[in-house]
Amino acid sequence: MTKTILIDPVTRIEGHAKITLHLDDDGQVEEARFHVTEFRGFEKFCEGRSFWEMPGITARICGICPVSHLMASSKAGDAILGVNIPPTAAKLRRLMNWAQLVQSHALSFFHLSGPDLLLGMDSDPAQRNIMGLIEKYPDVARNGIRLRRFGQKVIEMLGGRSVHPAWTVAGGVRDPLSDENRSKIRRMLPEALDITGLALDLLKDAFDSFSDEEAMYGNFPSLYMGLVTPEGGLEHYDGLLRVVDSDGNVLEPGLAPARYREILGEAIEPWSYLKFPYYKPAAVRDANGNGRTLDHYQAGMYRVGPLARVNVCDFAGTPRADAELREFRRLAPRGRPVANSFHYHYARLIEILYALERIVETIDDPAITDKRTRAHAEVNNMVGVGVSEAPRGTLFHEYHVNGDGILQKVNMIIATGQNNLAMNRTVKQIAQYHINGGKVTEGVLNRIEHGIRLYDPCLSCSTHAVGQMPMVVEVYDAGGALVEQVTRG
Amino acid sequence: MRAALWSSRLRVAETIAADSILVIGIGNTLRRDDGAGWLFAEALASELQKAGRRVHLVLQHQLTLELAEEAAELRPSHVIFVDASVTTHDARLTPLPDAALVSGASATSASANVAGHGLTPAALLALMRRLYAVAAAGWLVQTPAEDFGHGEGLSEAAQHGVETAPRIASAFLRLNC
Repeated sequence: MTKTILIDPVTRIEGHAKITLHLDDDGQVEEARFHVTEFRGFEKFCEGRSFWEMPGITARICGICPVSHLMASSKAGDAILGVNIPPTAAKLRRLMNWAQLVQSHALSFFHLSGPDLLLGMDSDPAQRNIMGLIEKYPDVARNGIRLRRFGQKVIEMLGGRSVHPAWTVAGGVRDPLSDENRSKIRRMLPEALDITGLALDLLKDAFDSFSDEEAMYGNFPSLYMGLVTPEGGLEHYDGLLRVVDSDGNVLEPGLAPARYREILGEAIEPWSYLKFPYYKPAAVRDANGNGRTLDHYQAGMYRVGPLARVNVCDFAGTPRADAELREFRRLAPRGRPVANSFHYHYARLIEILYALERIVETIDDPAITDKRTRAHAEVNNMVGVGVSEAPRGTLFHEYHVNGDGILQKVNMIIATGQNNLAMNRTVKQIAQYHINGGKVTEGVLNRIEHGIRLYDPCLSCSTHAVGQMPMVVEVYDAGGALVEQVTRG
Repeated sequence: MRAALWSSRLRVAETIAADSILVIGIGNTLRRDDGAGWLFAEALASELQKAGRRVHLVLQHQLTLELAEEAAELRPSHVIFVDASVTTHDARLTPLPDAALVSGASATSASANVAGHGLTPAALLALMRRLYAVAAAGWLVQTPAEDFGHGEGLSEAAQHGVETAPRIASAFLRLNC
């Protein structure tokens, strides 16, 4: 008898996502689907607005990573203006982008995944949360707050506030960095670097306890995509698109980001509002060059975000991050990418280290307090594409405008969407490993959630809620009758 | 007044105020009545300051983890959270449970939202106490709201609520003189 297990909602606040696990006659997981049930429609309702407004509007897409949308949107605006922004403006944007990486990754590691990693996947759900973490490891919790606060403070110093700062604009940034704030950032850096070192030790110490998770949490072949510098280094703000396959072969060595449509397609499934971006050259085609089956795009599955970025780059470009990257690469056979999504955690910490080292360099740059931070121009191009690396992966904004700068068409490819195929595969892999005969325990639910949290998806912030998502798991028989219900929260 | 209060907040790292009151306005001024939390908080802080109390004002979209540390650095004796609510017709002041007692189910509930759009006031107080050993008495002001649509400006009911800030300030001072 075929059964379906429904986990709904995955999210706490607005019910944005749910998971269904489809069992075969033997009670084994046959298929798993991560459904995003939220529709926001930014692409559509931005039409008719001025491109000048877009950084402010699109930053509202997210309260956790508004800076990412500011970056991509401002860069799309730069392209419409046809300007090279002042060098100091580019450095300041990078500074804010790195600061965001630090705060977002710190939240993900310390407070969202920390309870699972430090208290255990099967620990008491009533304690497996931030409060439980505080009770048992208050120093860890304090350190996490300090590191996140560092990132938030830098964003606030640059943009005037930490959430939705209206600071980057088409052509540059609104305000330069003051000498006073530069000094403050410099003073905060040593502690942030120390905390990151401690976090790396903490994670490596935890590896021994998570051998199962290391082995089967999103451990499958896929492609990886991210920005790299022209020299092949780790990059978060600009650079070129690189795609690498599961054997380490470079499929796209350095595509100009504005040409992303040449390699990326977006599939749609009726059961989710989240699109399924895929790498077009790898998708299955029939003799006429068309998609052959409904899931022809599955072969083009790629991962983005921290794991992908450290997999596609040749080197990081800063001393401590490069040392960690060398150690990280020992997790995979020589020359091949690290395939296990469990190591998103490790990649995240390497990126924090990298970002902090880059901030040290940038703050010491004499030009960083230069007052010339904005280029002025009118509409010179009818199309602008802005691409940057958000904490969760590559973010694309493409704007088509008329001569007055009014948006005629908008396309955005969000990082979380690009991991959609991989998240579905991860859920399936974890469920297949842990669910036998249709029996679902709380610990299994938590592992499935953790599998999603590895990607730190941004479709709803509450997807991050550790171990305490109210869940209803319903098991239906083939006739649609409810035969079992498990609730939590 | 707003600028002065903000600047006092920004100096918190350098000046630890004893026996001060921290007023935290929660809301979004671009969602109509949701902005009442900020406006009420500003008015309340002003009233308390006029009464000679040392006041810090923080205006937030949401209560975040790092705010626990910032708030603890102020070492306030009282924290007053101000939030718009559809559940009340008149602004009301209620004490929050002792942070030391926040555990179990309420802590669980509070932490569930940690990465979403904010902590609960009780969770923030608990974090201040457990991580930074700052035991502040917590108060919640709920001010009436009915329209959370896009845009600025308050409905009549929300505006009326904000105008009662002096009454709430008096009530607070009576209870904490």
